[in-house]
Parts: sequence; structure tokens; C-alpha cells
Amino acid sequence: MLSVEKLFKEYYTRLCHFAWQLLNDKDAAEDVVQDAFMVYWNNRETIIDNDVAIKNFLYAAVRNACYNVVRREKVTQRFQLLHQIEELEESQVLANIIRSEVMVEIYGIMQSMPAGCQEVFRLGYLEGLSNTEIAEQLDISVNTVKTQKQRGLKLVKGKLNPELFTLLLLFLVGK
Amino acid sequence: MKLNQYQVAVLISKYLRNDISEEDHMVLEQWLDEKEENRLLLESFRNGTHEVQHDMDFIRSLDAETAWESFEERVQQRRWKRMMRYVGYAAAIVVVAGLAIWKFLPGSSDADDAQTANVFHNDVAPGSNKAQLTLSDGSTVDLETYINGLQEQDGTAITGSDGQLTYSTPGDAANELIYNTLVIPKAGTYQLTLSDGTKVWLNAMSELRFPVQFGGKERRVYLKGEAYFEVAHDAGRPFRVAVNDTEVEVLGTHFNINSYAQVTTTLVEGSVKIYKEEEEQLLTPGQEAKVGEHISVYKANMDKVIAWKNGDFYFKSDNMVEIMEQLSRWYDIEVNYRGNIPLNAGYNGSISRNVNLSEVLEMLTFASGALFSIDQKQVSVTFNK
Repeated sequence: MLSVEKLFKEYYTRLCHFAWQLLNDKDAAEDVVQDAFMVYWNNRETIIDNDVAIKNFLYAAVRNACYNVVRREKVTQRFQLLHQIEELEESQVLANIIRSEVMVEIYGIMQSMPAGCQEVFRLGYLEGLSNTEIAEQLDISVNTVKTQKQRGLKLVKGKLNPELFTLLLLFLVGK
Repeated sequence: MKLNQYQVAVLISKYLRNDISEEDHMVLEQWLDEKEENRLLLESFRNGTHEVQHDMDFIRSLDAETAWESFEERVQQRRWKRMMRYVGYAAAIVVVAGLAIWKFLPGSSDADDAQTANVFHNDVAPGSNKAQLTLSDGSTVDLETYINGLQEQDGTAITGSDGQLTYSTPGDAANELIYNTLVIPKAGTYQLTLSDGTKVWLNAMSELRFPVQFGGKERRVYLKGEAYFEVAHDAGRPFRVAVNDTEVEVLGTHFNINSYAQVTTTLVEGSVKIYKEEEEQLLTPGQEAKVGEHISVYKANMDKVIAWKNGDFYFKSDNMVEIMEQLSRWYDIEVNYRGNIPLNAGYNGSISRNVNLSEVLEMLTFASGALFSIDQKQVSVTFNK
């Protein structure tokens, strides 16, 4: 069995992403996940030691906590646009779980690129900086930025589906 | 074979990585054929590039290491608390035993009735969405029970759902202003969207009088109590809030006005001007103006001012009377004081406004050492010493 620490670090990001899809608020999402792990901590003796069972438990705990947040926050209207989430169908919840699981995976792919490359990729892709801005920020020449982007492209090419690759290409070249 | 959601996610990831076996691909295709939604879900990773970027940004902003540390800390605290509870039980037994011995000791007087712990005969639920709307014809609607199909004489539709009310947008500015009044009782709160799009959050024991449609030159409303405004920008028609003998003028901005005691205007963004008689004062974001005999400007504690709107109590160097005043508005209670209330002592603390009164009082006992009792709607505060 995974230690609680390993479990926490393994699932924290995806559960936060899942909560964030429902609450659209980062702080609230992180709070909800903390609470869900606390519920897990208190009940861990009773949960079957099996990956799927534990994941199901955690996702369900997060979902319930999100519903509670919305119910509680109704008073303050912070989440007024999200009242509908109480009526989410089970299939939508499952779709959200799949989305979170895949997003974390895509993110992992990007993280697996070599550091120099990744930094350029990150600034260009995630932060939307231009080649010149990246060059300034990293104190390297614009040409190096271009080379790193090319390297990144090559590395990603073997790893990604052509369609996702095109998506990343847009970010890399479009800037 | 029926796939569970995690297996589907693995297949999709493999597919996106271009690393999917012939066999897996067939299974994935079968799943995609099951429902249109399934295909849409897969599409969502490929189209809407901006959306994916949004997701990536979010994931990147998380820090599992730090989150784990604070989780560990919570677990530790909980252990400590549980231990303290046992220590508490033990202490209680000692006290009871001690009292019993005291009572039976020859020559002892009757035990005096000094309170030694919080005494809650009942609990009091927090406030909720409550308001009364007075229409221009003088009729009154209780918004807790009815909000459907309201319409004003000039045709303005008033719609709402739990805790919030919206006035429809006009074609033209009104010639003759007709007024509505929204009254929030104790233990209530409500949110209102005016016909120009301005949003107003009203706190308990507050009142806003406003024209159903604004005129062509200005947008003027009348406030009592506390409200947070997000004013829709309209350079041609300044927005004015009249509160007691003070007037606050803005073009488009976010600010809070609290007039339970002194009229206090706190600016979150944009700019506002405060008028009192001949005086006027311009505020920049982060400042607040208190209107007494004159207008004085201070640096504001933004968290504290905005807390109520975000559903929290936030006490910062507040004395017990100031704190209890807030609680009495939100829990609809009456407060009695016993013993010497140290008015120059300030207490800090923050807690959700959505918890029962007992929870707030337990926090205050912890922060101040004061003891509380609840009996129906009567709350007493005791400082021993």
C-alpha cells in the first residue's frame, strides 16, 4: 500500500483540478482537497487497499465537499453561477474525472522534457511570451530560444499524437 | 468490457501520446461510439487550445509539497487537540471532585455562581438570504417566500432566485423616477443587480432605496447599514450613494460602505469622492474615509472590510463589544455583559459566517478568555477575574 504521503502527492494535483472544474476557484479547490484527504485519513482503516477503491473514495469525497461548498456559499453568492452543479449527472462527474486524469498526464509529458528546453517551452507555451521576451528573461540569445524550441518540437514529436502535436506546435511557432 | 473512468483516461492519454496499441485503440473506439459525449470529451483535449492552456496554468500553480506539509500540520494539530480533550476531561473530574469536597467541608459557604465554562442551552443558526422588497405602489413582498413574476409600473421586470434580485435593463432613461426599497432584517443578507448593471451586496440590518430605472443625469441611491457596491461604468451618469448626511460619488468602481456607526467608505478599486456639507475628499484604492464631524482618511484593512461579503467574520484588534455587535446583527441575538468588559483589549480571529453561534463563541473564548452562555436568543458575556 502507498503511504499516505505518497498517495497525497500522487493524487493532489488531479483532485485539485477536479474540484476546480466544479468550483472555478483555486483556493476553494485546494481547501476541499485538504478536507477530502482528512476524511480519507480518518477512514483509512475501512477503505479497501486497492488503487481504484481509494481513488473512487477520494474523488467522491471531493465531489461531496464541492457540493457542500456551493450549498454553504449560496448565502454569499460567491458561487451563484455554479448552483447547477448540484444537478450534475453521474456521467458528467465521470467525464470531469477523466478530464482531470488526462490533463495531469499531458502536463507530465511537458515536464518530462529536458530543463533548458522546458523553460523555453514553458515561457512560450504556458506564459505566452514572445521569443524576444523569453530571450530577455533567460538572458540567452533569440537564436538559442529558437534552437531550443526546435529541439522541443523534435522531442515532443515522437511522444505525441499528431493532433495534440499540432496544438503544441501552434504555441511554439505562433509566438 | 465495461471500462472504468481511470481506464478510459489511460487510453486517452496513450492515444494523445501516440503510444496506443492496435487492441487498445479498438477498445477506445468502442467507448467513443457509446455516446456522443464521449467523443466531445476527447475533442476537448484537441480543440479549444486556450482551454487546455488554462488547465495547464492551473496545474502548474499547484504545489503538492507545500500542500502536504500543511496537511501534516493539520493531522498533528488534530492529535494534539484530541489529547487536550482527554486532559480536559481529567481536569473536569478534578474540578468536580474538588467542588464536592469543598461543598462538604465544614463551614464552607454555598458555592458562588461564578461561571466556569460556556453554557449553551440551545444553539443559534447563522443568518441567510432574507429581505423585504417595497414596490413603488407601497406593497411589500417577502423575498424569502416569493419572487416570481414581479413587475413595476413602468414595465421593469424584477427577477430573482435564492438570495439575489435583478432589475431588467431599460430601453431609455426614465422621465419620472419611481423607487423601490430593499430592507434586510437582522440575520439576513441579499444581493441586488440594479437596472444599470451595478451590483450591490447588502449586509444584515441594512436598507437600500433606489429608482427602478435611473434618470439621464445621475444614478442616486439611498443606503442605511452596510453594502458592498460594484458600480457599472457610465461616465455620463455618476453613481451617488447618499448615506446619512454623507454622499459618495463614483463613476465605476468597487467599494464598501458601512454606516452602522460612523459612515465608513472603503475603496477596493477605481476612485470615489466623499462629500459632507462643504467638505470633499478623494479616495485611492486601499484607503477608507470615516465621516465624523469632518472626513478623515485612513489606510484600510481590506480583508477585514470585505470579509462579510465573502461570507466570513474577520476580527482584527476589535474589542468585545464591537465583535458582539456584529454577531447580534447576523444571529439576531441580544447581548448582556457581566463583569468588567476590557474595552481596550483587541481580539483577532476569522471564522465563516455560516457556522452556528456556538462555534463562533468557542473561538472567542479561546481568543479572549471570556465565557458565554446562550439561552434562546439571549447571549451573555462574562469576564471572570
